[in-house]
Amino acid sequence: MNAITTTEATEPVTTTDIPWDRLRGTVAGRLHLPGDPDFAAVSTPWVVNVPQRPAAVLEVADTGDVVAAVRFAEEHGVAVTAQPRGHAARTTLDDTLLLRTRALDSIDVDIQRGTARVGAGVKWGELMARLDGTGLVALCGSNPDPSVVGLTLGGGVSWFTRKYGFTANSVVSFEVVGPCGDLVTVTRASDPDLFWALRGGGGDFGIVVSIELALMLAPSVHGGKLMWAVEHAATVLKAFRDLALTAPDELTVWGHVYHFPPLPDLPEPIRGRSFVGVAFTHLGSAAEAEALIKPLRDAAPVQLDLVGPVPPSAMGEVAQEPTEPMPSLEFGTLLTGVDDAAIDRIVAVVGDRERCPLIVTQLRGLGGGFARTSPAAGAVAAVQEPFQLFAVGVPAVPELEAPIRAAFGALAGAVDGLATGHAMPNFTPDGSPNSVCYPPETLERLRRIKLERDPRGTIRSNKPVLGE
Amino acid sequence: MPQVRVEVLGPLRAVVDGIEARLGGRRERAVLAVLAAARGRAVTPERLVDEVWGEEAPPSATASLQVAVSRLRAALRPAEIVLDPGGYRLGGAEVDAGALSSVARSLDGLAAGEALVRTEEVLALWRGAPYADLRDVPGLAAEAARLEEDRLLLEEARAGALLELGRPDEARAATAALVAEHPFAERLWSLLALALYRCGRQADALETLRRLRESLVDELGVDPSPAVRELEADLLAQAPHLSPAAALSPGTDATRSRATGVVGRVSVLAALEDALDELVDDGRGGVVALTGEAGIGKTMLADEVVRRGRARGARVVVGRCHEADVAPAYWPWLPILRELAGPDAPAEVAVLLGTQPGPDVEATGADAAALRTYDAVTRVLAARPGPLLVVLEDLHWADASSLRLLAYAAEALRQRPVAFVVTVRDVDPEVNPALTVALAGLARLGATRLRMPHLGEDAVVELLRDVFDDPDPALAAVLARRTDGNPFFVLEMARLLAADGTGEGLAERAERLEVPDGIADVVRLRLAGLPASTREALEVASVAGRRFPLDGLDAVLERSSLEDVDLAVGTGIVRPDELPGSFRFVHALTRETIERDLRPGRRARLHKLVGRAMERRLAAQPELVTEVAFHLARAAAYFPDVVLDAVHHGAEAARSAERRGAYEEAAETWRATLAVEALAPEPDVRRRHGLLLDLAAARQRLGDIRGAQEALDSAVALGRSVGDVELTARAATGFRSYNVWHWREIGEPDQATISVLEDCLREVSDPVLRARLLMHLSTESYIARRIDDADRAAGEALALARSLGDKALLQECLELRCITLFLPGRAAEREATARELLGLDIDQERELAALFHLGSGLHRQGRARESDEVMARAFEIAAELRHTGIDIPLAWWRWLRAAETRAPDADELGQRALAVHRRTTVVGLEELTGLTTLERQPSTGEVPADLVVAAQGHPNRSYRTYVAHALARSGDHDAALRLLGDPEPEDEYDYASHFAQCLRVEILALCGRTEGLAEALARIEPYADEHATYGSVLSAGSTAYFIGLGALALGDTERARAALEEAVRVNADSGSRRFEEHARRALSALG
Repeated sequence: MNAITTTEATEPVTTTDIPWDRLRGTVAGRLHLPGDPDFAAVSTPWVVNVPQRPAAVLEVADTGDVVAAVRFAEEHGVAVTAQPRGHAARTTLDDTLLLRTRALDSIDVDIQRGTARVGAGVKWGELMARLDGTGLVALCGSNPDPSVVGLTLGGGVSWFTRKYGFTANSVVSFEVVGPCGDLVTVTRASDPDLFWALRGGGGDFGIVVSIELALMLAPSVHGGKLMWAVEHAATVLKAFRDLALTAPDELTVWGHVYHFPPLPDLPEPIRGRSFVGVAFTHLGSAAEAEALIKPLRDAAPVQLDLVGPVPPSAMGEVAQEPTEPMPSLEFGTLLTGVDDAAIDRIVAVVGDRERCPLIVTQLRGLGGGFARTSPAAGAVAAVQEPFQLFAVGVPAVPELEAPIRAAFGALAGAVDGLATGHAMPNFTPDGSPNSVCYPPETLERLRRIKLERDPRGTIRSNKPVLGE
Repeated sequence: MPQVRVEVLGPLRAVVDGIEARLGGRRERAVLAVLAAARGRAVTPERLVDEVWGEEAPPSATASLQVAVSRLRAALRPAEIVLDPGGYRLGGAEVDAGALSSVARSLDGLAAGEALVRTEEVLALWRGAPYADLRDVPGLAAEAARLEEDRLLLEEARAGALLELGRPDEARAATAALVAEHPFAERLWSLLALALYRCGRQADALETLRRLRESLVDELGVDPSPAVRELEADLLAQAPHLSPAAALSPGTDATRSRATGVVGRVSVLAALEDALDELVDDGRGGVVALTGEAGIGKTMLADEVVRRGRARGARVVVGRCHEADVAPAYWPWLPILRELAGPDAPAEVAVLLGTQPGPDVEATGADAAALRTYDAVTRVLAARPGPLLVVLEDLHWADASSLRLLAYAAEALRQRPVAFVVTVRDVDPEVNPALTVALAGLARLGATRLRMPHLGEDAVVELLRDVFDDPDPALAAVLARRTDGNPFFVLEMARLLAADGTGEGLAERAERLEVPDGIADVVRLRLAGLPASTREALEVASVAGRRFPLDGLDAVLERSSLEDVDLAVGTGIVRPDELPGSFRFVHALTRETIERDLRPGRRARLHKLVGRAMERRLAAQPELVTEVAFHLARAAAYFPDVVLDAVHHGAEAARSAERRGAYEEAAETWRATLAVEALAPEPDVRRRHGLLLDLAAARQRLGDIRGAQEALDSAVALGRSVGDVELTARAATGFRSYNVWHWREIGEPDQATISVLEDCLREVSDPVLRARLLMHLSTESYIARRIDDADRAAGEALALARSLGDKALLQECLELRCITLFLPGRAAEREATARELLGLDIDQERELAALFHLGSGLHRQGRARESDEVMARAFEIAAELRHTGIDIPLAWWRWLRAAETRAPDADELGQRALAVHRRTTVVGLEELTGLTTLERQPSTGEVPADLVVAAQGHPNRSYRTYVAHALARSGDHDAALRLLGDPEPEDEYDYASHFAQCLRVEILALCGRTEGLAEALARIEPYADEHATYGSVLSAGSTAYFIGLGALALGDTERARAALEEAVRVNADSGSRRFEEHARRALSALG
């Protein structure tokens, strides 16, 4: 592999030699260069502690700008990348021409056909808000802030993945600006290889300017969150684990241990306090849902009950994840299972607010659509592991970074022997090799397609498939 | 936990944790397959034995079953085969068929997006026929059939989703691949039809349903379901709901512009209005082509355009094409020109209109004459201020010249306020290639092509108001369906119905109306209702053409036909024409049907009568000659008494075409006339010989050298067959020069002609004919590279011509002589010959040729300054005469001088010459393309491989040497030497040989080859004073330069220096800066 990557690597370019003014003259959007007063603001991603040093940032105004930018990049040997929000920021974007695609904000929902075509800048929350009352849902992520396109290119884990599979596999067509600056519509029939790669292979194959998603039938969704005092963590998490392993595909459950910081903008009941919590969604009636989660309610006295009907517009609030840019460090791994002993060890690491610097530790129940494989699927890899362990720490001050990393290490120790070392692409921290998220044959095919379509590396994603 | 998948959608296989399990032999596979097909239910051992071993299972089968099960258990672990009270059951394994079936059952109510994603996901599991390898197990065959049904359901759902998502192409591809497997799957076929319809392939959509109906009826004996029939009707009616929702917006096409009778044409009219806007408001022209099937209403719409154009203040002129087999040249343009051309019209237009005699046909080449005509017509069209709309109808019947003129004029007038609207019937491209080429040319100019759509029901209601006061929508529905929305057909059927009364039950009657499954039948039905005398009149009219004069009809019928015509007008079959006293068929289809139905004998008789009637009007209307010839020719096979007149008029028609510069039509008319002549009761060798010579001349003008040769060969054979040496000789000297270049590629001699010429010379005593024979022999010898023979014959010919004092003969011989003196060492002689020709009393075109020969002859002698003066005069004359065949050599000459003097526009001139050349049939295009390509790239540039390959097989040795030279300069010495080959014998030189010999010296020098170099040098030394030129297209300056290069390579520095100094001086003198620089550089290298 190394042999290939070194021979195909783009020649080093001194980005200061690039005639940026020419690009500025051909685009409608604003071009920012290092040294411009607002450069720091536009080049900082959502995850603010990841230092990104792009060569230039273009806030594109329309698809034409994307075409112009890619052609310019191709001509001058500079790599180009798109980052609508920056939830998955990586240092791999240094020296690139970074496109902020937020202005590509069109949303066309066709209820009749059951499809939605959204521009690259559209956030999940915005799309879902349009689906209220339609009885249809898109396979949205748990956070309303990331872009539809960004999440989907990485495969996409949704509340509905257990039932309907990965978000990427719900794509009907892509509109893509390819490495030569050509705008094409990609469907299964038009370009099977590219259609495959774009569905889960990341942003390395073109700048996606819009995406057409199939909308799924979901006449009613019931869900929300139950919270208990953190002392019940082991008991509740064991009940959660049992439920996750036996739940029908319509039910998705995630268990958490929370240590909310004492920040004034958090609501009073949770501010500065710790909980064990279970979030869930159920495609179906309230009665069915309640019957299914009864073991959870029975496990320990519920302190906060945030369960109810969930319209699509409220889907992003079920998990109550942060939407404002912030510094964060993440840890994630897939688990072959979580036996009682493992739960006890995890609780030992994260159960005590005084000793645990992580604000949230999460076990997601997978299975169902996560594990299903199909020759028709895209590059997103099926996940056989029934659980994902995921944790977030907020290094509000740099001194916190060391204890957070130590806690990650302790978590890893707690699940030693259960962790497979694999992770889903949208849950890998900066610096993880691609082999963590893709089986070898998938990675091989992705690399082959990349070398065929973009040998000069004009398009660069946050996780370049040719990188290690 | 390891995953176990059993896959049955294809040959059976099992995959354990990603690895294919070894299942063992057929028994194990069959057992697993039966268990998988049971979908988790238990299967009794007895049934397993029955299925796997069959009815005559041995007693040991039960024991064998246990062995098979235990082997399978081992192979499939951790999946299990459990023995329940009910029998064996497969557990812990996923079966692919399960997913397929469950998705197939859950498609109802899914929106297209999800349906597409779901169906594709499970269809991808399909690897082939289910249980493909185990079809002999009885229970599996039924299960496989069920799965095939599921798959069909899924495929249909997928195609439906694709259609709904606006991707009809993919839906079409998906269903087209499946219909063959499912000949009776009506939904699948319907989806294919709908997909085709949405891809814009209406006819294919209907054909698809027709095929479905055929297989249902033929093989099952049933009719298609109501749903299919409904779709068929909707397709015919172009029901709006067939279009995807997004495409519905401009859905008001059914409104009628009542004042005009144009129904259901809103979108087409809108496009025409746009064109009128551009023309009237913006002063910009363009071409709009209205296309569609016969009877769809093109003519009616064209009439509407005429009306609207006039209402908006545009000048509108209309031309209609002629339906005869051999269309008279420029026919549709004649009325237009008659209307527009004033008294000061260019001579070419006056000739077209017959108001001025044509030029001497002999003197002008075909390309040149045609271009002059196009040019003149274009000037007439552009001459008027204000917007002009030119309408040309029925372009599918146009003659080739008219089509080419249209393309020329449309291109030339793009920026002027002149717009063209043409109507064209859908024609098989094979049938009319000229039309296809013309339409493609118009498309390149950005012509708008509007296809006339079929009418929907609403539009049919409107249309029916022409016949009924308050048309019944039910009747409209029936008619729309039965007529495919063809307005002509609708009206014909409606009139037929109305003829039997307009009372109740029209729709029912329309439904029952006797099978008019083609337009022809309806026409016949309507005619059947007319009196016999009216039918007779219409029959005559149908033979006369779409437009016919009343008095002509009377003359043929020998009675008044006024009443009959009135009746035909009343029934809407014919209508008065703009031309007073003339009528025309409302629909071309009616006329065609009537004529086609005539018995051949009667048709011939009517042609004779029409032809004779027209013949009587010839004196007053000479332009009728083409039609007279046409009609008489169609009668000739049955009526020998018209043959000679048909031939006579045919020849006249051909000559008239030639006078108009319409050489294609002329050639075609000569050919047709020859065919008629063959029917003559008494053969006449001279008459036939004359026609053949005329045909050959017409073809030669078209550049059809082979066709001309064929005609001349026939004429030679004819002459010989009656032992008439004069006829033979005239045929053998049939070729004429229409250019300053020879007429065949050098090196491709015509040995047969040479022998005939020699034979004739032995017998002919008439001195004029002898001189011609000799001169032709000389030219053919030159083309055959037999220089001595050429010289000898030319010498005799010229001596004879001079001694006879026949000026015309002398001119002819001198002109041919100039062509054959394009040889090294003969430039002075060519100069003298050209000067002699100039001294005679010659016309301008011949003067132009003589000046060209003089100029190039002077240049070759290194007298470039004098040459420039002569050529300047030639350019003047050429500009005055406009298009002449000599344009092309002159264009190349401009390039030659520009390139050697390093003029900045040299490259542009080269490309222009190539473009001009390409438009004609003049020889040498391939090598000239190669020359211009290589000259425009840097001198050391790589030679394109295709050029090298083409050069290898090129008959012209000089061209091969030229390419070899480019290879040598690019550094590819091996390839250069390979292509160079041996030097050509000196007695086989031609116009470019000396140039090639010079390059040979340089190639050998560049490649460091001294072998053969001295000999090559000796070859060029005798012509040290000459310029080396590739004919009249490329110059390498003074020969001295190459002598210098050769001497240098041989180590003779002194000689080299002298020669190079000489080259610098001569090249500087003649302005050949390019080779002056080369020579200076070589000198400075010498030190």
